[in-house]
Amino acid sequence: MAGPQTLLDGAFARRLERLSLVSRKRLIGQGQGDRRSLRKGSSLEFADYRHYVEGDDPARVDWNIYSRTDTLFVRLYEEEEVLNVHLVVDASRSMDWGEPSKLRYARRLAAALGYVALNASNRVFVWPLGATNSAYGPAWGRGRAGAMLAFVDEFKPVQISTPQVAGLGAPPDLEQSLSSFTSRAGGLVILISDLLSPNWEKALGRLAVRSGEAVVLHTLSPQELRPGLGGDVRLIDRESGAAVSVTLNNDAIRLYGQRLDEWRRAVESFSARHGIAYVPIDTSMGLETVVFDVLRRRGIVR
Amino acid sequence: MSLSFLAPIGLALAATLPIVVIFYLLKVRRRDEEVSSTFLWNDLIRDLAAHEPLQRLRWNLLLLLQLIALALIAFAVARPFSEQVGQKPVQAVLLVDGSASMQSSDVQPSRFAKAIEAARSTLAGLPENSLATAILVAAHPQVMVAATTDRRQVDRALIDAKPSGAAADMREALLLARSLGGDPVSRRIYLFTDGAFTLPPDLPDDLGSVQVVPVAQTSTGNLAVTTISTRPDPRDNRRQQLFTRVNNFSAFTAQAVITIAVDGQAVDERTVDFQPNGQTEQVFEELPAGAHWASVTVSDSRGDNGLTLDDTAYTVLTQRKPAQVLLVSGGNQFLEKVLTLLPNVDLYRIPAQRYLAVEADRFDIIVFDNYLPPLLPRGNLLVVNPPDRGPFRTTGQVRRPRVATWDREDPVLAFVDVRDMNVNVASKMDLPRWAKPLISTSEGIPLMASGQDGDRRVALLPFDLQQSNLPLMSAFPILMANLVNYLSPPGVVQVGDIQTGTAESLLPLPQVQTVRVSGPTDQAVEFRAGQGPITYGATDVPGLYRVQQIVQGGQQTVDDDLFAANLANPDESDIRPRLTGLNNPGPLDASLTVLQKEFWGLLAALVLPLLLVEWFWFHRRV
Repeated sequence: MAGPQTLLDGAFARRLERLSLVSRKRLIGQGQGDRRSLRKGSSLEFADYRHYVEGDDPARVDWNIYSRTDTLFVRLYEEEEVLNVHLVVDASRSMDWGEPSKLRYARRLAAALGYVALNASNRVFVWPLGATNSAYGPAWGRGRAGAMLAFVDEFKPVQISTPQVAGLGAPPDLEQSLSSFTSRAGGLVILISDLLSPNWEKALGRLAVRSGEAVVLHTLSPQELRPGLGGDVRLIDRESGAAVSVTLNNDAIRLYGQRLDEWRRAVESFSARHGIAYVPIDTSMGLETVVFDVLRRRGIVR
Repeated sequence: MSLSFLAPIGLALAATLPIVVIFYLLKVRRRDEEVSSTFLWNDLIRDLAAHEPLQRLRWNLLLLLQLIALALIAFAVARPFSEQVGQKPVQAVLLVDGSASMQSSDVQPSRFAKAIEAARSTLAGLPENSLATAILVAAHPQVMVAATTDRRQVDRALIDAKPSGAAADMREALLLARSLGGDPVSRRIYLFTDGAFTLPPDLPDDLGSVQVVPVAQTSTGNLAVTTISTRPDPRDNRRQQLFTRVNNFSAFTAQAVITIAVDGQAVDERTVDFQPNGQTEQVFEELPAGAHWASVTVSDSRGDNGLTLDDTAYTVLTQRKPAQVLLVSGGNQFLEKVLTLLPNVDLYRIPAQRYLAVEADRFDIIVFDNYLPPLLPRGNLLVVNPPDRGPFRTTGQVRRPRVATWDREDPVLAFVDVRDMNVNVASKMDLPRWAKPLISTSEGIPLMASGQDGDRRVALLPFDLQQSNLPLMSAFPILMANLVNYLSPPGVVQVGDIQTGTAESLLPLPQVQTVRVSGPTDQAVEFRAGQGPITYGATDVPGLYRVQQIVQGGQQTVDDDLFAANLANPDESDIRPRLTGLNNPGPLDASLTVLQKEFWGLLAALVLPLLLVEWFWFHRRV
């Protein structure tokens, strides 16, 4: 397990075993776990009635009510269900940038959270966006940790070079990638991305309309937060190849800083309005600090 | 007022203005930097792009500043001028008399200061665009500033000028002014002087306009020591007598005290009455033996004494040391006798076989009689009948040679008549190249020769004195006295007393590395002793000058000598204005003319702040 070992070292993994993911909603999942689910199912604890629709199990029709009202109702029971944890990792080319690489940072963060989830008997899915590998999961139980870590470490980004001509050969952006992520079930979706896309609102909108809970770990490198560039430069977009010619003087750097702050506030505001937990992450921070300090304070883990 | 250009071609520089604009239209060569996304930068392009491709020229302060600066430069290069009506410019030569009499204090603070003030005033009043030349008239005229329109430069030179303590060469100064003044029509020579000099008789008549600006009071007098000299006392040549002449350059009677001092100590004092324009001559006898220098000072107890520079005169009391002469001989009564009798000779005798036992280098003159050592000593040599070895080769002998010619002009043969000299046998000398024959036979065989062999003087007599009648002739002691004079080492100072402003020639000893001259103002000047004499010309100040000869990197002084510089010039000491005949202002052309007033300097001065603003603006943005 050479690969996984580089993502999580032993001491860090042992500390992670004491953590669990927090779901603030009662989530719908599949399989039995240690969480209370909002899904009305067939366990012994009665929850509610609803109208019968085609395909419902006839055995669950409450015939007593039908006899009095001539209307078919099915009985719903509260079930103890397993939490589905979807780790959605943005593997676009913009993520493969920065010092340290944001993608590498995202892999380690996903590995840590996935490890926490498996240890807590959650059902774990890993969805790399913009990668050759489609998805990993479901997996549950700490016995699958090795396979999960290996997948996280090895999935390959689709785009491996910057296009010479702007737009030519550029992969779908974040919003399009997220559209391919089909949440077959609800649960906790954790998106690790830099959100560097003009369509970031639409992308987050896709997460918001889902049932379940969503968390955005907004991952930016120190070079994006505090650019050290200067002089007359042609900025080349790593994903699209688009070029922007600017003279980077003190004014320009100051304006960029203002623009960046406004954008992050806009993301945070949008997330708040749509019930998405927003956590900004600077990749210059240590991973343990992020997991045990930032995410814990934000109530993502406990 | 109309505006024209002296060099309109300079406006062609304005053709470069579009080039500057093109630079701004050209795309800047940029460095490619890959970023994760240009998403956040896109919105900022509008604000940040300073240089864009050709299709758009944006408003830019730098461009504006550069265009203005370039336009100003092009304008300045074209040398714009405006025409104004004004006085015709002249070529003014300001001659400021810097002679000793200009230090007179009959006007306050001095005549020289007054002359400088008048010269500056004249300079300020010159018509626009006039050329000005400033010359300080001293022993040798000094051009302080030549033909410039920069009045501040001339003004500074005038302020910095210093008077000398010497007589001025007015003729040379006026000729120089005529040469530097250029066109005679526009030339104006202004002479700022006290007029206390006699006009040189041979002045050219084409000096043109000369305007004399007098700075002295007409009724002023002066007492001056005009002559000082010494000689050995005829009764005791170790003692010296001093003669001095003191003049009263005044139309009134005066009374003064004349003080004689020796080595700085007053030894005699006399009160003297002067008639108007009178003089007194005084002799002071029996100066103390062994003294180095003497001075005569006149101090007025009643009368007019406008110039103090000539109140004291100095003289150096010559103390020639006796020549140390070594006679190396098997026994020559004639030589011994004559050398013993000569004054200023300390004679030492040794036989030839003991020569190597003495330190010959410490003698000034070594006389080798019928002998030559294998290695010649450093001192000067008189070689009599040398054996055929060493540097003096013979090619045989000649019997009874007859004197045919002798060099009467040579100092060695001064007052020497050798026509009756008979020699029994003489060697035929193969003379070295440095030797000059002084006495020769009709066949050209030298019977006497002398010359400078490197640092050493050598005289040769190629015959045995005892085999000739020369020692019996009356010419013999004169010849030997001349030879000793010729072979005695000269002192470093060639002339003991000089006039201020004249150069002193210094001949250092061969082993000397440095010669240091300290003047009366205690300012020392050092010279590296090398080949030949040193000419020291900074003798403007009357007084004593000390000459030290230094060896071993300044550690040891081998000789300490003095010379005196005195004004000693009655014409200069007579400080009464008497100049007539030179003032010829000529018809002043007061007509007006159209003057071209250039102002490119103003334009150039504007460019500098513009460039500074541009520099500041550029660096503020980056």
